[in-house]
Amino acid sequence: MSGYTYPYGYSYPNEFSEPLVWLPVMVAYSLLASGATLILIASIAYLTGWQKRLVPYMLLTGLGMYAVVLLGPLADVRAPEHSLKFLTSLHITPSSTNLGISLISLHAALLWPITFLLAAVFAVIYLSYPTYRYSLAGGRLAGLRRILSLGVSSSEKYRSYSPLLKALAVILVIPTLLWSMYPTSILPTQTANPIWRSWQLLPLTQLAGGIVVAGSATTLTYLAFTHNRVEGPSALMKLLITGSVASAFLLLLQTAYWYIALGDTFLYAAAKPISLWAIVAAIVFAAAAAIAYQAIKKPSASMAALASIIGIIASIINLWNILVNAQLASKTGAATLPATLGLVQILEAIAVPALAVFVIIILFWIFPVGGGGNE
Amino acid sequence: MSTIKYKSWRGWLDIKRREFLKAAATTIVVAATPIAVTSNAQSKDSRKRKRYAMYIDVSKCYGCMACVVACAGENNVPIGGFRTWVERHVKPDGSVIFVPKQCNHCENAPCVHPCPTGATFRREDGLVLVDHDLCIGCGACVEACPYGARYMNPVTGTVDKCTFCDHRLAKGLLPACVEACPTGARVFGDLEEDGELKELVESQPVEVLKSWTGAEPMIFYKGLPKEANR
Repeated sequence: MSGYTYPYGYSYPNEFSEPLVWLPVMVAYSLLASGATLILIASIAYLTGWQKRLVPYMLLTGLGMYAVVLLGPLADVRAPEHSLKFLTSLHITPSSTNLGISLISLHAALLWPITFLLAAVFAVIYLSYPTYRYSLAGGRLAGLRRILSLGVSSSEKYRSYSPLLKALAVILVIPTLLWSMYPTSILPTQTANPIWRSWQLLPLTQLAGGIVVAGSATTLTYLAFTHNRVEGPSALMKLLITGSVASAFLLLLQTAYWYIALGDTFLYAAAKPISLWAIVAAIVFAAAAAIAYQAIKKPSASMAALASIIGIIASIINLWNILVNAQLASKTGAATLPATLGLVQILEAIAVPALAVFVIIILFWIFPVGGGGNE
Repeated sequence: MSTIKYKSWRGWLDIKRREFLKAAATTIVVAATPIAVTSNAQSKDSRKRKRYAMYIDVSKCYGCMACVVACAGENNVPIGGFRTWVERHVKPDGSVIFVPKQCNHCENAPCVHPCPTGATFRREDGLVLVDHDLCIGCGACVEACPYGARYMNPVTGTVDKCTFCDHRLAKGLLPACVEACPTGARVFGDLEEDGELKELVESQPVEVLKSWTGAEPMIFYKGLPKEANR
């Protein structure tokens, strides 16, 4: 007879009754956090002069995703009537009664509004002169475009904003980098979950996955909102390949670690299904990278779109494995718990990214992107 | 000015009334000062930091679940949630061991760190509690607790857990689980005060759950099987 009778020992009954505390909408949350990665890449691209033509696409796509990202956790909280306390009662300084600092409070209540505001100001100023020129064409949104052009009606005036834009781009690097590794960056600090506790590569894995989503989402918006469907995406395909290869490598490294460290023990019972799905995600990332490579060798809009879609699918598999499957690992590490998901929870998880798509469409409707970034 | 006659070691003397009153007032103040300092020190002693904790002798628990029922009744615990529970473990020799568990009211509680609103907090007397007016029900503390002691209350949408029955402590009563236990497996008290709890914790071979988390739990087990410490 085994010395351990889990799950017959009534261990941790609370996790039996509710194995999933964080619902699948948190997968959407993590996916949309890649909006910060896009803003980061756009900032770096602006500072280095890399792919100037793609900067407006990255900015608007990133802003659209980042604008609605906090609707994910808002949809997940069980006492939404108290949600304003999130802004009025911050836990960002330690005290004798409130130990430590809440990374949730730091990122969501403090960093997000600052980052979003800075990114929005950066985007509006960056697109001010092209928006002014676009407004001269008339149309229903001419008035709005003129307002958003901030009175920048000449290239000389636009160039005078260059130092401000550079300063904003530099300032944006740190908060967007932190957000690019969030929310999975808090998971290794959750000592309760044996999977997360032993997954120190999670922040880097999130960043790599974020680069994949960044490249994929921008490729799709580029193909959707420009007439030039052959050139341009190769730089984004390279981004996708970089992120995919890095993601696959990090996932395989983590599965190897679990196998080596836990393979002979009962603790592998919880890590094994996570490992298997991590390998699946790595394979799909590799497929995305392979198709993206083909899209570079033989430039093709359809190949680029396919690579992007598969890249996003790989990211969803990966984030689902990290956030949902890993939650089902028992605190003992000796088993995984069963959970059933309802249609409502799935629809909730789709609703927030759908809203992000809507916001992106609106942004691309308002702002010009064909000739953006002229200096 | 009127005078008062008073007898001193020099005999009967006259003293002006004003001077007499001044002298009397000074005497009263000087005499009262040590009394005030002493009583202040005594009240500070009575407000000395408490550190509530619990000792559980696993060998005395036979799994009657009286503590679980008492807790559920006392604290209106919803179906499916557990503020305290009793685990059943079978050792290799076939013997059965029952291990009561609950919130450990840790000194370095991992559940307090991630709370975004400060709803989860540690009180001066060591109790880790939840302010239900601040709790937004994000579940971060549920995920953070290594002991599975927290659950989402489906009625309030906020987090619930063992409070060591702080409402009973305020009235000088013991927690419901301690009072209900028929074998005295649970002993509750103040670790800062000389008493049964402190004596047991200091004299018996005790251990805590999941010490590697750094949480510094305040429930001390005697006879804890390693199967239960996962």
